[in-house]
Amino acid sequence: MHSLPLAADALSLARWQFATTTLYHFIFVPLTLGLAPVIAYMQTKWYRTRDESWLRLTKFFGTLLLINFAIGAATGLLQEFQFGMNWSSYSQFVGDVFGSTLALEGLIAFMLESTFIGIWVFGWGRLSERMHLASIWLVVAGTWLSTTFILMANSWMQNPVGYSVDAATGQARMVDLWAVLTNPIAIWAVAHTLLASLMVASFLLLGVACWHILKGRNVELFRPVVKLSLYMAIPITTLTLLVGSEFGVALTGPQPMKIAAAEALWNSEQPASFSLFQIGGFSVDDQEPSYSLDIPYLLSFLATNTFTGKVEGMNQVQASSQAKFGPGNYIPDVKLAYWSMRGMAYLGSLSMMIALLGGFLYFRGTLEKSRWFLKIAVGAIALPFITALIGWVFTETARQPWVAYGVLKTADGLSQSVGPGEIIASLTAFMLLYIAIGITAFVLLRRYAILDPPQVDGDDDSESDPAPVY
Amino acid sequence: MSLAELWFFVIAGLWSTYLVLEGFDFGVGMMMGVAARNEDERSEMIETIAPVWDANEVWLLVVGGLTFASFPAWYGTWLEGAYLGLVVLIIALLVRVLSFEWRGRVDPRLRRLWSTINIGASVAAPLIWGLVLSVLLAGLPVAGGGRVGEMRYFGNILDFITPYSVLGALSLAALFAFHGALFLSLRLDGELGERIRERIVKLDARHLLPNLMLPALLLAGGFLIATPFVAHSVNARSILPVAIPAALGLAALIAAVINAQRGEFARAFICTILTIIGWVATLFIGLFPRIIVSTISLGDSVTIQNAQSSHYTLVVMTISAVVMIPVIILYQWWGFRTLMARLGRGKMPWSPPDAS
Repeated sequence: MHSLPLAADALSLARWQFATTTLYHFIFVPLTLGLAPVIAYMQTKWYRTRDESWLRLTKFFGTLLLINFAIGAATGLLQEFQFGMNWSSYSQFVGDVFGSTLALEGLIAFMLESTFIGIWVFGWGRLSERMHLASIWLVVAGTWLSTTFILMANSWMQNPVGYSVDAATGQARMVDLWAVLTNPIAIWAVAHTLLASLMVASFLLLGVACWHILKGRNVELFRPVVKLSLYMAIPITTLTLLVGSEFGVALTGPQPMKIAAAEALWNSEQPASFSLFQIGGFSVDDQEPSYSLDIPYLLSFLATNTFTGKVEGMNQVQASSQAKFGPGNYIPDVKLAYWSMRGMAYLGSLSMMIALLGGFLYFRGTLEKSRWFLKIAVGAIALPFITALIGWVFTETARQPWVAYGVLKTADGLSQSVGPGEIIASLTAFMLLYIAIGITAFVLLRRYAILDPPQVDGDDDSESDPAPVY
Repeated sequence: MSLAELWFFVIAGLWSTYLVLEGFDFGVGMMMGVAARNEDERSEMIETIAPVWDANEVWLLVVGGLTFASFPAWYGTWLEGAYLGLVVLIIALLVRVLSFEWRGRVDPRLRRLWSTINIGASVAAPLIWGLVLSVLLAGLPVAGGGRVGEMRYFGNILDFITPYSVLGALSLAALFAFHGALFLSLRLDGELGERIRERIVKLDARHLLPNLMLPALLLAGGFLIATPFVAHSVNARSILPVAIPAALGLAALIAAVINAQRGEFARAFICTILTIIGWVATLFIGLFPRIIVSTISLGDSVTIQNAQSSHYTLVVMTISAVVMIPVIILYQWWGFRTLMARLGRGKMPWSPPDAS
């Protein structure tokens, strides 16, 4: 992602295609991950208390979940096949390990999720209430397990473990499944991603509830949603940031270059200061920023958990990488790493402040009258989505030039027979399609988010189930 | 039989499962194009598969993931070669998923558009699957790559088009149309159901051309008869072991036709299930022990031997599959029964909120 694909070589085109389609997929994934447990919680509340407002909310947010789920599932198809299509050499060299995690995901998680979402949608009034409630919790289990396996796969690319390279064929061979499943990077990645997904969902709840309150519609119904969303958002935004920071510490060992690039730290420092903002200093020829606002000791603390820890610089990691892997440039796009890291952290912090502000207003009892805050909350729906996407840009681009760190370079993973023309064709087709889907999805989600929640009248609650209409 | 050989047949079994299940979904989609008169009838048709199409499609991700894990060189070479075909396929499957979910939620004027999308995708997907599966036997320009252990594709998408693979494509689409029509004949009553049953059964002058059974009989029958000979000439297989599944598949196909003629649609549907299994079995037995027959030279083919992953991975996958596949079948079977049994015509659990 060093430059726009004007050169139109197959490598950069394939990278652009992977990046854009995967990021697009990940707009919808966190909402499914975060919203499914919220809906399961709402339905459980109704099941326990028989308070019909929880049933109405279950169905209201259930519709949003289904619209969103469809796009997540549909765009996920490409994700699996793209590895073989565009990255055939990669697939062949790591399929033994990486493919296994994807296979386990299908067998254990995705099948569960897809079967039970159908059962949940069409099971209203057909299953016993207890079985029906169990089905939404099984959807939650499926989506969360799915994330776990996918992130094990990704974490293997970040920190390859449990494999050896076959002397005869040069391919990675799995030797220790347990090591792959308990990859320390995977454990942090799963925690960070699931928390970020709950954050996405909590901001959606907050924003939608605030919109209804702003318009003076369904205020009684959405008041508990505001409370629920703030009870989620305040601890979760905080935890996402803390876990993200620990994730960084964990990554410093396996990928020192990523952390050094994220800080635009060219030479090792001890203690290292954290740069809040800098101008220049992002390339080998321009290592000294012309302006930089620093907080002393903070980077040492963030990267090593001690105020005086040593943080390696890119020049040193480059030298040690060359000694280990042979000649080559092992420095990723520093400017992108530095700003995507900050974009993620700053927007994450902004989300936390909005959550705290909401909590303050809520407990003071003035939230509903603070129209300015209600408006901010509606706009803030987008915030955690954007933050999550920037997080992926950081984690994937700052791993370059490696596709599987220390095992295979991105350039060596490409499909040899797929030329730029074919990728341009597919990239164009997917972009046009994704834009159309995006517009439709936005229109639909917006329409159903501002709709009055369905009424449930006593005996026949099948009138308003969140099933699709054909 | 080595573990890798076992996995070759496990993958074949998973392809059968996927094609049997999504096959009737595709068939229903095609029927929306040829047997429905208006959007309400199309809605009725979609209702018959609404609770299960998603679960059916996941079998594709399972077979994809397990192929990736157990035969990385197959997965990489095949998907790379089929690049543009797969782009079309993925777009078809993608818009089809959305058409199910969104057709009823969008502006009513757009319903027709989403129906058309669903119909187009339901025709395109079986054609492409038939093409990319049967071309494994017809042969592709594959050979060892620049690095040890790597297989490479040396052609382009046009190499996928051979007489045999085109027959494979058409036969699978025709078979699914028949399979889906039989499914609908079981799930729909009233005038629409009657019309579909007529389209299957009647063979007089007026019904000959739009008949849904004949194309399947001719094309899938032709594919089953041709495969042992193609396997013999292209893949150096002896005819007999390939002819056995072909004959069984053909017998199932003929039994499907006879049962449909007698009005025994449930039996006929079971027979089309067996025919699809026969289609896959004949192809895979025709391929064995190779996976992608090379047109460069037979020795350059992607084989079970050179495409397999490590023994350790195959053991891990075997244990996972042995544990998980029965569990999946159990809960999917339970879900099918619970939802299909009680979802009759006009009993959809839904009335749309006024979203205007």
